[in-house]
Amino acid sequence: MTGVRNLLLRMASRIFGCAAILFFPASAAKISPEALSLGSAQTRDLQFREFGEVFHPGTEGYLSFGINYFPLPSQAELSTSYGTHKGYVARYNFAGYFSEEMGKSGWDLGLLWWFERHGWDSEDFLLFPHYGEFALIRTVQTAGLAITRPSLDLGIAIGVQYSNPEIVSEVYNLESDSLYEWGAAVWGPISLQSSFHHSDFRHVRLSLNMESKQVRGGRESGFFTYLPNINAAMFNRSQDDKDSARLSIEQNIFRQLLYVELTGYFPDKDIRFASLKYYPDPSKVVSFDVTCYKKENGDLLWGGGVSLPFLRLSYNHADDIENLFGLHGTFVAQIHFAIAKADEKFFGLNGSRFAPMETKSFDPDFDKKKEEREKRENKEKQTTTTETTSDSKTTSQTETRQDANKKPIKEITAKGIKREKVQ
Amino acid sequence: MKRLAVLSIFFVFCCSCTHLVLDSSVRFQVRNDSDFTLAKLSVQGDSSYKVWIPDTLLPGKTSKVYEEDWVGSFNIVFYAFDSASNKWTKIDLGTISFDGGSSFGEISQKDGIWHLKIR
Repeated sequence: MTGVRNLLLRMASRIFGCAAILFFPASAAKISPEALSLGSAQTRDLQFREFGEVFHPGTEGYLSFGINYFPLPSQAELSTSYGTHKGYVARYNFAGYFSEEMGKSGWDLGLLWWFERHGWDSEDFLLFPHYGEFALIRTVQTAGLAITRPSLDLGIAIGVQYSNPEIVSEVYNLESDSLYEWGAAVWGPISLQSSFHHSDFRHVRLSLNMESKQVRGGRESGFFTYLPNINAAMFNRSQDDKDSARLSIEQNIFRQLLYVELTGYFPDKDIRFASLKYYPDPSKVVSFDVTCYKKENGDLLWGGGVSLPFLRLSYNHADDIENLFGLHGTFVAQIHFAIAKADEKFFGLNGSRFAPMETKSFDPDFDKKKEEREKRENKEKQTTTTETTSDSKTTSQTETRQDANKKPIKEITAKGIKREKVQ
Repeated sequence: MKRLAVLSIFFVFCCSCTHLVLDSSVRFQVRNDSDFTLAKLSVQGDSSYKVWIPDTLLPGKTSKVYEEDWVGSFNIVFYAFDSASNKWTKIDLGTISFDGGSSFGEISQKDGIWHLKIR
C-alpha cells in the first residue's frame, strides 16, 4: 500500500514540477540586440510569405491586423554587455489586399499593402515611442500591384518594400533606410517570388501548393487534399555575407483539420521547428497549436497557442520565437484578426475551406418600413370597412391584393390626367 | 464573437499603459560612506562604459541626482582614490538591480570589500 502511495506522490510531484517549469520559467525571456538587428530581414520575409499565401487568382481580399501586448517590463528584457534592460517589445502589423475585376475583361486588378512596426523600447507605446537610450524602432512596409486572370489561374504582382529604422541605438548593428523591389508570379499550384535591393539579388522563393483546397476551386476531401505544400526560399543576407535557405512543408494529416508543419533553416541541417496545428474548422480562423522549437544549442522548447478571431494567446510558440526576435519563456497576448475573401465567402489565412457563415440581410430601415407597413395596413382595413358600408363610387380605383406572403400591394390608377401646354 | 470584439477593444486601451504606472528611468543619487574619494560611477559593458554619476565625492558627501535609462540589472563600477599609492583604482561592484524611479545608494567599504546599498 505504502509503495503505491509513494508512487502516486512521486507522480504528482513530477506533474506539478513540470507545470511549475511551464508556467513559472526559471529564466525569463531575454532578447539579444543581434536578433533585433535581424528583425528587418525576418519581417520582410514574413510579409512575402504571408502575401504568397494570400496571392492566388480568385482571392478577392485579405485583411489582417495584430497588436502584441506585453503588460510587464520583465517579459521581454534586452540583454546587452551592460546588463539586462527591462523594457517592452512592440509589434503592430496590418495587411490589406483587395482585388477586383477590371470591367468585364476577365482580368482582376489587385492592390496590396503590408505594414509592420516593431522594436524594443524602455517604455511601452501604441503610436509615439519613448525613444530610450537602447531603443530600436523600425517600420517595414510592402506595397504593390497585382494582376490576375482567374479563368487561367494565372497572376503576377510587382511592388516595392521599404524598411525604415526610426531609431537604432548604438548597441545594434548600424542600418539605414532601404528600398527593395520585388516581383511574384503564380500559376495554379506553383508560385514564385523574388526581391532585389537596387540590382543586388535578395531572395527567391518557390512554393508548391499541391494541396487541393475548396477556396481555390479544388476539392473538399479525398486524396488530393492530402498532398503537401512545399515552400522553399533562398536568401542573400548582407549582414553575415552568407547565403541561407528556408524550407517549410505543410501536410494535412486529417480532413484538413489537423496539419503538421516542419520548418528548417539551412545550412544548419537541423529542423528548426515543428508544429502540430488543429483547426476546428478547415477555414483556419480558429487554431490550437503545439510547437517544438530547436534552439541552436540543441535544446528543445515546447510551446503552444490558441488563435481566436480577435485574440491570440501563446507561450513559447515557434512562430513568436521566429517573428518576435527569439522571444520565449513568456506568455504572448495579441489582438489578432486575419480574414480572406473569395467568391463572396470568407476564410482564414491559408484556409482550406470557406467558413460556415449564416447569411443575414440587414436592412437599416427595417423598423421604419415596418411602421409604415402597419400604418398602411390599418388604413386599408379602415377603407375596406367604409367601402363595404357606404358602397359609393370613386373616381380613382383602389385595388388591394394579397400575395402569397400576405404582403398587401396597393395599385393606384389615376384617370383623367390632362396635359396642357403653358403659353 | 461580440464579447471577443469588446474584449479586444478593452485590450487596445490597455496596451501601452504600463509606463503610466512604472518608471522607465532611474533617478540615482549616492552618498560616499567610505574614507576614500570616489568618482565616475559608471555602467560597465564589454568594451565600453557609460558614466552615470560624474561627480567626484569626498568622504561623507552626497552626489546630485542623475536620471538615466538604467532599469534592470547592470554591472556598476566606480573609481576610488587611494592616497597611499596616489592612484585611482577601479572598483567593480558586480551586478546591481534597479527597479525604476528614485534610488538612493550608500557606498561603503568594510575590510577591503566595497558595498553599494540601495535604500
